[in-house]
Amino acid sequence: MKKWSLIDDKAFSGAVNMAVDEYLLFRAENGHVPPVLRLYTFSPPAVTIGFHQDPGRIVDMGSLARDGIDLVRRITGGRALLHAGELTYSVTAPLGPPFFPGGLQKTFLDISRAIVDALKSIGVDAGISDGRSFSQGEGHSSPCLVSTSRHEVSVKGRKIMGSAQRRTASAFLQHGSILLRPASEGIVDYLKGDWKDISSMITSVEEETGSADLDLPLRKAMIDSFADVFGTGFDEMSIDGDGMTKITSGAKTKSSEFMEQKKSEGTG
Amino acid sequence: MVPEESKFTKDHEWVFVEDEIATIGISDYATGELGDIVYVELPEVDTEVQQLDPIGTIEAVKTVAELFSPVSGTIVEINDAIMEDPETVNSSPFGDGWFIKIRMDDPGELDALFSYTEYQEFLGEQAE
Repeated sequence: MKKWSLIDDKAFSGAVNMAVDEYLLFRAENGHVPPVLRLYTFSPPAVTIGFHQDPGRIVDMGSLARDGIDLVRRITGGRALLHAGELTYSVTAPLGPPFFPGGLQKTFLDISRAIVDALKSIGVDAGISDGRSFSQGEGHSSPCLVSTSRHEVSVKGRKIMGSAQRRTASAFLQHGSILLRPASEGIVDYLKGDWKDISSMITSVEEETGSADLDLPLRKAMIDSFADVFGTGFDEMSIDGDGMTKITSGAKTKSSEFMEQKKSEGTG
Repeated sequence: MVPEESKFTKDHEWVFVEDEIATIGISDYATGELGDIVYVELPEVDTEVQQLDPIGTIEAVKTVAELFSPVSGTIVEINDAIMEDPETVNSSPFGDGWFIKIRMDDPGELDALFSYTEYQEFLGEQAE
């Protein structure tokens, strides 16, 4: 089978990261290209919200402004997530044969299998969830990490990853964050409402292994496990000039979406 | 709506035609794949659409899926009830969970869509 493409990326702002993933989805929709696995992190930390979420209703803009946290809308589903102390992956691919002939749930399951294998190889006893929900976090405004869906990755019932997907007529984007350190539980500080401590509902690589320095080993493990699960290899990919133009434009739009709202509520 | 008398797309939308009005929804296979639907975004009445134009989005717990018009024409009705209660799409995908109605420009476009039997075969191929 034809190889996948790999972007073993560095840290970017939330706006740039989301613009890159959107560009990769656009590329998958518009050409006969192989799937792309991208690994990346966020700097500065960012809160991302789901495509249809109303930030005025769920996000505390003042706290974000105070702590220098970006706010960005994803084009994928799911709920609010704080990107800090984690490794994020994205997979973008054309739908259908030869790479992803199955449906939505099969795609979720296969990607989760690869992530479970990667986590196991660095000493995390991860498994695939059966989709039960936790008691806290009813409704669309709750943090992403307080519920598990079918085929998500957890450790003894505690969530260690949050994923979301966008499907178009001909391609899909799935991205998600694997928690390296406990920082992501800080999401409750940036949401409106009276959220309790969610640390008992989630875990991290550091908590499971005792090591705070597994970013690079997890990256390597992800590349190896995706190659095994999908029976493929990787060619390193770089984005061309036209792609960079689209990404720059997309990131500019994204970074300005909540600027006025943050400014007014942050000084209020 | 009668599933056996409807047409289907590869994106798991159904089209049921009565008097040149096409009612459009998504199949029970699609609702099963998506899980609990939490948000539906639809276009406005009187919008003119071409076949395969995007006509909205559906959001389930983790997934945003785009909707495409299976036929060309003018949107004459949208189902406001599913925007208030998106779970109706899960509980009644072939009934109260319909999405929009379109007055078709060219009923011949239906010929390119799956029959019920062909759609069942398509689902079988996806499961292999």
